[in-house]
Amino acid sequence: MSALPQAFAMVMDWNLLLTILLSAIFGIVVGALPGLTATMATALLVPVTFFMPPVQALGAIVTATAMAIFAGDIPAAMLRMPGTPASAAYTDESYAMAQKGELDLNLGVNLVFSVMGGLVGVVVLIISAPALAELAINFSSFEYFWLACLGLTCAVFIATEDPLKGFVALFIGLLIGCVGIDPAAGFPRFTFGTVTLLEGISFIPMMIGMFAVSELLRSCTALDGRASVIQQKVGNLFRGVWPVFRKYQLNFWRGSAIGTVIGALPGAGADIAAWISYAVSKKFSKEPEKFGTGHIEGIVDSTSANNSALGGAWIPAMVFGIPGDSITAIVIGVLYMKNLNPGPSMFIENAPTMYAVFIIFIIANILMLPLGWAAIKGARHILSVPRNVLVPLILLACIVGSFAITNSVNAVMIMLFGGVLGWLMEENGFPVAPVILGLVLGEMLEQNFMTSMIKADGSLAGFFSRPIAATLGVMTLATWAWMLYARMRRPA
Amino acid sequence: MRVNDLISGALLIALAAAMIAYTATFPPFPGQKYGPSLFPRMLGGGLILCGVLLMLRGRRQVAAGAALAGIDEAYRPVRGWASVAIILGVILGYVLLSDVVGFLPMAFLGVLAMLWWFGVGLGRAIVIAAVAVLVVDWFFGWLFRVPLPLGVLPNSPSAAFMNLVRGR
Repeated sequence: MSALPQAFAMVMDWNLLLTILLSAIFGIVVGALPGLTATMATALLVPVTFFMPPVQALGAIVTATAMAIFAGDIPAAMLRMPGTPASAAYTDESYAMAQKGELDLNLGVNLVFSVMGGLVGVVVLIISAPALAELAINFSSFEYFWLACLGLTCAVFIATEDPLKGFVALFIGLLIGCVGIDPAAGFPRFTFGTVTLLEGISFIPMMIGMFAVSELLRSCTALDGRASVIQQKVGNLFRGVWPVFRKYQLNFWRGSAIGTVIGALPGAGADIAAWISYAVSKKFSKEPEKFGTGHIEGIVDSTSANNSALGGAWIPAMVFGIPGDSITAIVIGVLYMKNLNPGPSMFIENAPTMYAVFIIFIIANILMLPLGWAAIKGARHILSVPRNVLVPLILLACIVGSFAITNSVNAVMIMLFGGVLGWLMEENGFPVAPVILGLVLGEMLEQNFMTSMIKADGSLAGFFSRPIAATLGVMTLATWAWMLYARMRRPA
Repeated sequence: MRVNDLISGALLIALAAAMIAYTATFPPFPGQKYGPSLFPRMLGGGLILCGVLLMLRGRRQVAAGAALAGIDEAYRPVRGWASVAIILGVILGYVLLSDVVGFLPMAFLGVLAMLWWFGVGLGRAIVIAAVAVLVVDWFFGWLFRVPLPLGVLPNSPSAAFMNLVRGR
């Protein structure tokens, strides 16, 4: 356990603490602005983290996303517009509460339960990740291949409305990942003879394009000035929160548990966690008829769930290198860039770094209390930033952020390509997150596949020769067969 | 722009087929039947399967009276697509000209053009664009040492300013 003191020493560094504070403020502002998501906050932050040591980079992302997910609750209550998709599940409920004059209670509950839910997710992460890593340390390329297949399938299946289009997006991402030197033989693929493509499609500009530029292209058609903020003074936020906690303790634990589990499932993140826990809350409520009329119960469940999902999503990301949501997909890309290959060996080789990230997770959630309070008090100023000023500034950040990765305009070209591709795809109902998943995981998937092929001497039976690999393989194939069968039987 | 699944499916099949054909130029591993082309081909196969399923679905939709292609309401007014065009234009302009003209002038003009187009008053737009570009230049150019192209400028204002502050 000597890693723990080392981890504390890593965290107790002024540079790092300042980074955490600044990322927290950045996360709150981005999260509170409707239309700018936590994923976008991460996308805009990554070029900056590129210049930081690993712990600082990961700390910045952890903090900014935790804050953004909470801050999304503020405009939900004040404007009836979720700041991030993770707050969409209970936006109407929050707004109804605000209209009933319970804005203080709503925001207080959102803040306190976000903090506590976030902490639950972190605790589960801290306990389960090292334990799972111990199990995963025995995995070979066969297990990893199937695990990646299963994870990606799961990501497409749960997280997208239309799994068929989700698979298309995933394949496109994996194919984009094939550009450049191939991982097994070192042969340049799809480079069309150019030198710039030899290193492959750089993941950060692609991600900035798909998550940020495409969003700008979508929103730029409707930039009608500023939104009207609910005219109600924010009073004492914490009055009435304790009685709510006592009354709805079960809801809090249930929401946090659901959130953590859903977060840990590949592909499904905070937004889906919030939707499901809201639905569960309503189903098991003693007063389901009150839902939708400004009732706090469902909010307790779902606001705890979306923050706990953040910690949960890091479990498969750290242990298996398979992201739990689109934010951790970006994190995995960052880890590879920092030469910290995610996987169970990280807990042995870089244990202090891992523990430092855990500590930052806890700090970020505790920091959310004062900063969240300040954000709510100052929300009117944040929300009054006109969108027609924001769009050009975000685009500037995108361009410079992409450029900074390779110090060349090629990255800006990739960003442009990603932006247009993402925009056209979303217009046509193709989700973009699987593209990024595919791009990030493509090399790992192919490497494990080719290694397995060589080990098994080209025989597919080798993929089922070890018990865990066989189980995972059968599960994956069964899922695929079932999906295909369901599609054939019930054409949608 | 929206196209029916029939068209997107066909496009995907064409893309995948072209890609698979291209992989024929990849050499196999010595002494093996497979090589760097195997994985992309498997993906291509997956894409073709998805494309066929999409086309089947699209055909049913078209038979039920769905349009083959259309443009979303939001982009239909000239302003809508012009907004998209100006964003794409600013990025493309930066790609083509920033090396020659420099980061500061290109970024300033780009941000200014967008602010003005999206309805910010010219005076305010100039101030916002100037401040934003200088802050970015300081943050990335000076703090993180990103070599933002100088272009026509002799020196970066942030570097000059920071040198002045430090009395150099």
